[in-house]
Amino acid sequence: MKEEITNKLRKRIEEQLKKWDVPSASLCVVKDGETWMAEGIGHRDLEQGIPADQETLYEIASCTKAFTAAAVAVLATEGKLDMDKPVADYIPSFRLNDSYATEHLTIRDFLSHRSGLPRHEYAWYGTGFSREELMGHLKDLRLSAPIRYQFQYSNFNYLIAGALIEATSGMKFEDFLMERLLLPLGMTKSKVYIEDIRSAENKALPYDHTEEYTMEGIRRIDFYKSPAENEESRTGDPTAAAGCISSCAEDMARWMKFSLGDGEWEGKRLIRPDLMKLLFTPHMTVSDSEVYAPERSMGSYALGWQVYNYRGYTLREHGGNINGFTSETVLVPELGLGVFVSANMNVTLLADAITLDAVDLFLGKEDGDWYSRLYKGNEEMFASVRAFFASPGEKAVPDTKPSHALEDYVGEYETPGYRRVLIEKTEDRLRIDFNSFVVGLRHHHYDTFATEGSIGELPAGLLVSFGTSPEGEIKTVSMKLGSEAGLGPIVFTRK
Amino acid sequence: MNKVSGIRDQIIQELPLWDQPSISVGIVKDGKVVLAEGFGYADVEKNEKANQETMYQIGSCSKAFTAAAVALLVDQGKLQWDRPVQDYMPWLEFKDPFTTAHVTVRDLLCHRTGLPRHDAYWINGPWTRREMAENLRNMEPAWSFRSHWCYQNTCYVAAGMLIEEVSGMSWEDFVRVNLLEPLEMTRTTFYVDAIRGDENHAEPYSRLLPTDMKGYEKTSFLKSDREDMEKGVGAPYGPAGSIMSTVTDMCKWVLFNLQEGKVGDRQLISEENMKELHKPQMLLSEPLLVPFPEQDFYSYGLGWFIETYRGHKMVEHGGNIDGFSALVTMLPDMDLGVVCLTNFNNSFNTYASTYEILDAYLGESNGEWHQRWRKIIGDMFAANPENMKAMNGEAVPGTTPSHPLKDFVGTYHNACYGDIVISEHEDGLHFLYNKEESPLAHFHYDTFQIHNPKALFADMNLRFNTDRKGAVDGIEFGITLDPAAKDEYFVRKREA
Repeated sequence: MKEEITNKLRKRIEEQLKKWDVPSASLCVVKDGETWMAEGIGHRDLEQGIPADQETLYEIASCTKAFTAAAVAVLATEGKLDMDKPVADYIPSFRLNDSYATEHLTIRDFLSHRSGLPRHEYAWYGTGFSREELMGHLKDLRLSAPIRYQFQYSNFNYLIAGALIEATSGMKFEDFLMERLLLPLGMTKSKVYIEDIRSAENKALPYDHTEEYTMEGIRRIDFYKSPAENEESRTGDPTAAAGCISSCAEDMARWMKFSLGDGEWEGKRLIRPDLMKLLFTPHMTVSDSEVYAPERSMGSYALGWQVYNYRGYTLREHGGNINGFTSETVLVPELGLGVFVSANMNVTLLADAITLDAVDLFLGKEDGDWYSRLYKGNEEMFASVRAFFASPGEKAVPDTKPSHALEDYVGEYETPGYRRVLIEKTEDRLRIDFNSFVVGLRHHHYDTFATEGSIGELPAGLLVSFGTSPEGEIKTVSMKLGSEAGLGPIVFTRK
Repeated sequence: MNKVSGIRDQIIQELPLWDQPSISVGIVKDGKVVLAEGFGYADVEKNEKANQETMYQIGSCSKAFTAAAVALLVDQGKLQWDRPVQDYMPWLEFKDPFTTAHVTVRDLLCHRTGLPRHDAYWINGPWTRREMAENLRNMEPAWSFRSHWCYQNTCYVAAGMLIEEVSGMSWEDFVRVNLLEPLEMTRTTFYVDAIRGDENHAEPYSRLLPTDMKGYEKTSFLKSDREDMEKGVGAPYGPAGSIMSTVTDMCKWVLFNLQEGKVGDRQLISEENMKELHKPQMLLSEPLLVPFPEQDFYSYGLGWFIETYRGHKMVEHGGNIDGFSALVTMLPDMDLGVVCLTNFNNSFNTYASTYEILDAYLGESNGEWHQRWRKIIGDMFAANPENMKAMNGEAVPGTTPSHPLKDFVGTYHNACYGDIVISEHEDGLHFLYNKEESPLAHFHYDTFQIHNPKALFADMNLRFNTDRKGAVDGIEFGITLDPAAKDEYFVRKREA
């Protein structure tokens, strides 16, 4: 059975990498405590034609969240923190934008994304703000849902978890993760600093398709690196706890074996069994994309893990996306099964498809058709992103012009918790300088402009609207930087 | 149909093994009622058989009606799921002021206010419906707001009050006019006098002792002193569990739910708001009863539990009230619904029969649910003395009470729970709470144990405290019946 499954899976992945235009996949499969597969398939470096192997490093991005949650559980096991006590008890300077939330929210609330904090992605992404600065900004970042009311995925929740780990362990987050979790598990190849993967010899290079939000062609892109990261002072990524780990198939096999157990590793107890159970206990319901129905249902978020029902089995998983990498960790405890896939390709559902196909191989199911279903799902997802951003022109009111001369829009705008927005004029055009992204602006209608290039994951077409003061001066600039229902546009005011 | 006859045969064969008087079963499949039948005796002493028109109490299966009534009011724009209840009913107060200000209509219906059950006060208690809802202000939370799921009957009573406030009708009238009548549930009622007065009703039965596996006796209906059918005043706890119905009527209810709010061609409740009722709103950290490999994912919707059964979404709710237990279950993707009504306290035949029926339609047959459920209950009952021991601890030998028994005599008061009365009799002290009197046995020091195997508080310990002058002045008692909750304190009433 083992040979049959592993050969089938390997062959399918080889075929699908070509079909999806993805350079390579790191793959490991563990079953009943044994590593069945740990290998690289395809090319880690496409230009030089270097094949990936079991030690090739890939950025696992948000798959890190499960490690962060486990690190919290390690500290709870040691009695250094109580998962049901307010975080503010451990970090006296901790302030959210709501005093009740500040005083009451526990680490479980943050790890399960029920704090009410929306993504506020562009309050950290590419800002260069340090970990301490970001923690300080929380007091200014609006919550967009009542506490514990809605699942709202936010990297800030994990920034807070990282800060709690630092406050209660007295160690730097990266050091704690490495010394207290990765090394005890024998994950010796894994890295927690972006610089360490960049300088590693055996690493996968990040790629995207030729055009953003399309599925054809392959082009090299850069590793994500926060301007705040500094290799000399070993200052890690400010949001490290949300996604800093780079790992390889061999190491991830260890992680999955540990995660399928009750918190003991090679005779040593790292996490108390009840806390181990808590990590996988559903805390919030999560809506799932139709493309996974009916096999996958009952989406929920536990602590650093999502939990689903898959064909009658409990399925625990978490994905990870960061510039040029897409990863997926899947555990099916009833089958003693763990599957990890990382592809060195920006946003692709291929990693998801491989893991579900692998689970189906173990269940003896051949009707999942995950590669074509998710390929189609991926196309539709990209099409809707493109439609949302690329065609605002269609919704523009025709024959309008800006109320002021372009020079009048130029200036520096700010809002608490965010980095400033600079509006500049070059020749006869405006451009926006925000979070280390500088992109041109074209007139949309009235005092609203649209971006001509991408700001992080926000592709061209983002609307930038200006408002005036009672005196008639251009006073504010606002942008809808997230999709959270309760948040609305972020308004920056002229300095 | 072959399938149904197999199901019937099994129910008939298993009923004597359960040693219970009756079970009435309804099955709805693909829009049709394929079985609605009573098995066994509605009244054992009078030799009256149960049939499809026999009335039973459905207990907490009533909660789905309350939630559906709210959905209807949301449809009408009179309520919003996510608005604070205070906007509609300013007098509703919780002990925690943040909860008072923020608890929403949705919160009220999915058991996440942070309160433990706090049930003992209303069972046989003197409260009106409004007083029950007002009593929320006296209830000690056990968990931080919205952080934990815990079944809470009084919040459903508050939801019933909310329906009354915004509709201007009693909860009973609102449910009757807007749900029962359109659904033609003609043999469904809210009044103990109505069921007792009906020719075809089931009498309540229970084991002689709660942990027995065999034998039973007729018991009495739970009837509140506040209930007055003539005046249209229902049981105070009505919105949490006072409905009585038949399998015929309950099949109509299940059809309505499976058809997402439709009665025939008429959309009574919008599909959108029906979906709110049937979707997971709050997750349970543990299964309510016991874990099974066939089940996964434990959550509460609005008036319904949402789980998975063999990979299918299962929407269900049980009900238990003195002498009756019921279970309503749906697998929407199979267009399948099952109703089991029994005139037996904590039957569990409801679960076994339901799962067997589900398996019959899912093409599974290895469940052996009847044996499994009987074993589960047997194990649960067998573990009971050990659990009580773990809760009470070991008695310290050779101790005596600090005061003569007469000094403990008196009335002790708690804002949420009312009065405990301690009296002295030939056999020692007695404990009286909401009409239930039990002898107390000395445990150790000033701790006494409730010595009455049939009592709600059987084998529970209570401790007397003294004030600084040495007088007996209070009782600490785990009256919430929830190990996660703190013991409640009852302060001695002083004569004026």
